[in-house]
Amino acid sequence: MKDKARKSGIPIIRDIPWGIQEALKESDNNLKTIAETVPTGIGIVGISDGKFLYVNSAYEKAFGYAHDELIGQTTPDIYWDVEDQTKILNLLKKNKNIADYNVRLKKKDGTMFWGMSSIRPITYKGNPALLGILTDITERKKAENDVMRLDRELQAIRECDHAIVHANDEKALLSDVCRILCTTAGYRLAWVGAVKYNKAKSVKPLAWKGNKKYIAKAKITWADTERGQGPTGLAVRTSKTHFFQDFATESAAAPWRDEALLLGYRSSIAIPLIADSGSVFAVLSLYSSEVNSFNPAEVRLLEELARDLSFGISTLQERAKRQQAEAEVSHLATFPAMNPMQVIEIDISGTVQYCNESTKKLFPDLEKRGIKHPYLVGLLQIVRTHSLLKSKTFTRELEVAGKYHEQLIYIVGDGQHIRVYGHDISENHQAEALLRETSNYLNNLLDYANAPIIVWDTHFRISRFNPAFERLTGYKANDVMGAQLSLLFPPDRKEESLQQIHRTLAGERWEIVEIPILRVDGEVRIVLWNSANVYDSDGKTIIATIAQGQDITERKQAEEQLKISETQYRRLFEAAKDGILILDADTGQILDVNPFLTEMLGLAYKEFIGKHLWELGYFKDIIANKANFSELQAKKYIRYEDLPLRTSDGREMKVEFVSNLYAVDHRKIIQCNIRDITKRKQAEEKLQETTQYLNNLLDYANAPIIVWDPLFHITRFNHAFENLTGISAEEAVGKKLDMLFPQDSKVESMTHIHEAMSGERWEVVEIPILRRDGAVRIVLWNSATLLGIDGKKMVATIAQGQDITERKQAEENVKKLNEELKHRAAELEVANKELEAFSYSVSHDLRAPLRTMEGFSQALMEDCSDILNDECKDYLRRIQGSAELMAQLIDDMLQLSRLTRADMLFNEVNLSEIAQTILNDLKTIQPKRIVKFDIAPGMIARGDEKLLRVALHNLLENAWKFSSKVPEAHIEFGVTDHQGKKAYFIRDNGAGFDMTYIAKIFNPFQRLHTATEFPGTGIGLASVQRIIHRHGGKVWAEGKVGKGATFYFTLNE
Amino acid sequence: LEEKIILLVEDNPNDVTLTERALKKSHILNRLVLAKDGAEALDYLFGTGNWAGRDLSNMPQLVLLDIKLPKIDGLEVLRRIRADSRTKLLPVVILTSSNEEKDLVNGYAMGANSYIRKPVNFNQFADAVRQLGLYWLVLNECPPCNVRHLDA
Repeated sequence: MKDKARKSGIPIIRDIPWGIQEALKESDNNLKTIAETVPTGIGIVGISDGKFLYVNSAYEKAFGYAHDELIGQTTPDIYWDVEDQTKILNLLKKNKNIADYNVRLKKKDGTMFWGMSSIRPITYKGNPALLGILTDITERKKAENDVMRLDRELQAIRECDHAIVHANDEKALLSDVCRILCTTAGYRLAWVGAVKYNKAKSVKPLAWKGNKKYIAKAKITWADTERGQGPTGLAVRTSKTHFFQDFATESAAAPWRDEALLLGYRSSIAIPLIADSGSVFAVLSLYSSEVNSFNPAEVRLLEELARDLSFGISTLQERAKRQQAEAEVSHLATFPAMNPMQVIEIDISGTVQYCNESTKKLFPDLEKRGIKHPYLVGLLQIVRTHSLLKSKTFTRELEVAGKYHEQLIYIVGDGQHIRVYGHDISENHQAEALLRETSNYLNNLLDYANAPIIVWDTHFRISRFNPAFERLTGYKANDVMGAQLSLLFPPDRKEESLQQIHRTLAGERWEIVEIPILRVDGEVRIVLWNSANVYDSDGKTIIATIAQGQDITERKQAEEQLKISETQYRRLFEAAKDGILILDADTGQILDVNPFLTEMLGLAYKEFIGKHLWELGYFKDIIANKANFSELQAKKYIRYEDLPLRTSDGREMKVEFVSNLYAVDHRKIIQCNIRDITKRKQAEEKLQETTQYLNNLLDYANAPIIVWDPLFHITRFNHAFENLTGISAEEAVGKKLDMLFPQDSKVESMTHIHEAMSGERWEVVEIPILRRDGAVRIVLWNSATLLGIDGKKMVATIAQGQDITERKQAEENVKKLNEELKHRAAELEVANKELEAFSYSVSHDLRAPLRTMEGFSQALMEDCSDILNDECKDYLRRIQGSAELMAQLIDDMLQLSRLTRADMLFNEVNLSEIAQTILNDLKTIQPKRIVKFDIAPGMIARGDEKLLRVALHNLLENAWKFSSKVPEAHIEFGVTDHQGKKAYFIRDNGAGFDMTYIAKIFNPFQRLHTATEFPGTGIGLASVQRIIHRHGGKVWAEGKVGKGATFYFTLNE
Repeated sequence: LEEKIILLVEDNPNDVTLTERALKKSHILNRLVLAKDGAEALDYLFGTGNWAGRDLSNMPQLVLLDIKLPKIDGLEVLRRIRADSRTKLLPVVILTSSNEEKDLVNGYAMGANSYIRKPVNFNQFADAVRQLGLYWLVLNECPPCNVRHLDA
């Protein structure tokens, strides 16, 4: 029970009351029976492992598998197209179930069938599974297909009929039909083959659509051979439709199978096209990509199409025939009246069908006598005697009333008519008679001809030997008559010459051969033999050979010479690096062209030959120009120096074109030499340009330039030189160079120039020039020798002058000044040394007395204070004061002199910082003073730090000092612009000064205030000025009494 | 007890007088040997010329040397002092009117121990001399007098 249930695939349901179980079981059994008996395939597949859980017998049958081959097995390869499987799985994933899906499936034996499948998920024995329902719809599909195809077929036939009705041309019609069958009916290949009633029994393709190569390869015949067993061959032989339903399986398809399958042809059909006479004149063959493609309905349709087509074609053929016949008739209609030929056509009974005027004229009673006329009787007899089947045409001669007629007789196509064309050849006959009459005359001619003539018989025995031959050989005719021909040949050439004669005589024509002859005196002459066989009256048997000899010994020699010269010429011609053209002088046509020219112009040799020069398109109006041409003929020479020419690839070139006219072998030819001078022209142009440029350069150069020849004659003299000398170029050119020199330096200057030129280079020399106005200018000459092309011979000297008179003077002045300066400097140095020594003594020796004065005054004050009254003491104090002041003056003076002498060291100097330090120092000395400082930050100058410090110290100390009496002293140090230069300034709001004395303010020891007002020696500003001057700067001051002062200085920054 | 001698090399008698007065005022009572020029100074130091036979073991405690001197100038005197082993360690103070940089530099380069410019003002001068005496004769420890013993 349990096993059975499993086998049947019906789930067992437990824990259900017995009664219900029984009912269920019955229902199960019913279901099972239904499943096994329905024609629909049912299969259940487990989702987890893809194995068949259940299949019914319809399912097994559909695929051709046994029950055990499916159950428990994974789904076999059942899809025809693997992609369908994927599609179905995707659909299932998406929609959960599938209904009525049409799919191609594969049977166990590999054949395809159409199935309609529905799949849905179910639970089978508690596991998820897929239930598949399958119906075989192959037949339905096939029917659908057939209908569709028939539909297409019908459409195609409609189109074909349309084509047939409208056709004008057989071939076009067939092509149309093939095209329609492929495009509309969907055949892979369609072609119409004409049935050839020849030996090979071939089928010749007339029209096709599709792979033409296949038709050629198929080599179809309608003979009863291997390749005649296909549908086409059978169709011809049986006048019935035949087909291959499957190329793959039908044995008769073997010869074409591989090729057909390769091209996707699975089946083919051949339908005979049958003429009215019942014979098959063509076959329509179609190839389909499907097997069993042709069902009876379709075949019927195709046969109908074939009938229509046959009709269409025979209509067309009829039409063509009629047209041809009409054309023939109309042609013949115009023919006889004007044709002197006799034209007559009779049927085989002898009845005249047609007869033209000429014939009527020849046989006036032809119409009257009808078929009894002897001409017609004779004609029929002749036709009969000749086996006319073998040859349809033949000619004969006919004598009528003393006239000879040549007649062309032929049987007209159908064999029922005889047509004759005849013409009068009586004149020819007369000529022949005449010829015979002249035979004797010819014999005489032979004997007395200038040309050597010899005749020998078939045994090569000499039978005639004319006087000219006697002269050629030195033999007498009597001596050689009957002798062997070889007697005449040199012994070493006998064999060869005889063989040559044999060979040529065996041929139809004896070619002209060269055979040497040995004269009786032993000399060998080259003879050109021109011979002919003499035949018997039957025209077949050779009875003799006649040969005419031509002594070409001299010509031969000349030819040899010519050949050599020709070869030489040819080499020259071929290898020339000029283009050469040979023209016919009379016609102007090109006879020859050399390779260089073909290459130059980029044209092929063929393109030149026979053409006129102007036709080439390169040399328009050259020889074409009549004037030029007659000029060429008169002068026999023409030359164009500069002819623009365009090559076939579009390059511009310039050529030199030289034509010569001369005669060769009594024929006038023109030889044209064409040389590419593009480069030369370019070079010339360049040269001209350069020359022009140089001339301009020379003429308009600012520097005076002169050129003289090796004999020192001036050849060029430019504008600048004219200006320099006041002499014009016209005056100067051609004169001796020394005309330019002053009298007293002429010899010296020329010597100078001679010397300089003999050296390799001319160095720069100074040579004075005498101007027209008598002034002498000092000129610096810089020259070069111009050498000839050989690089050796001097052709000229070019010199450039530079007027340095002013410079010279300036130099002189500078020199003088320099010397003076040197002298001064030396003096200054001495003075400085002296000053130094002086300063030293001053510092040493001047102070000692002061010390003495001061010291002893002090001693007096100390030692004698009790005996000195106040007045005396005051005097002593005055002495002391003066001594101290004097000492101060000395120190200041020394400092000033030191500033003048000290070495300077230039550096970046931060003036702002220095000023700050100085003011800080001053503040330290007099801490009680209230002074407002304004120092611009970052004033950096270039100079000697030590000196600048002294200068700033003096200026700031002055400002400090002179502002001491103002309650709110203000000292400012900054920088401003003065005439584009940085001007530093130090400003105070102190006592100021009177601008009247501004001139004195910087003098040493100059003071504008009393020592009691403001102490000082008056050396400070002098020091400042010295320092600023030593820096290359300027110092100045502005001020007003009681309103302060401003001191400015610049540094040479 | 060895006598601490001051050798004053000075050609100007006024200066000599003023120097003596300044020393006296400062109570520097050391024996003052005067040389009126460079040659005399060298004679004293090396026991030559007028000073021939002098006991050279007794060298001055201090030499006050003027630069500008007749016959042999002060810098040359200094050079010779430093060149001779007997005198090369002597304290030499240049006492001069000059404050030329050249003199200062040369003086020190030759080995002067000090350089003092004579002020014009006597009080200042006297003060300078006082300080000088105090420093070189009292405060300063002199090198051993008889340097020859050391050399030997």
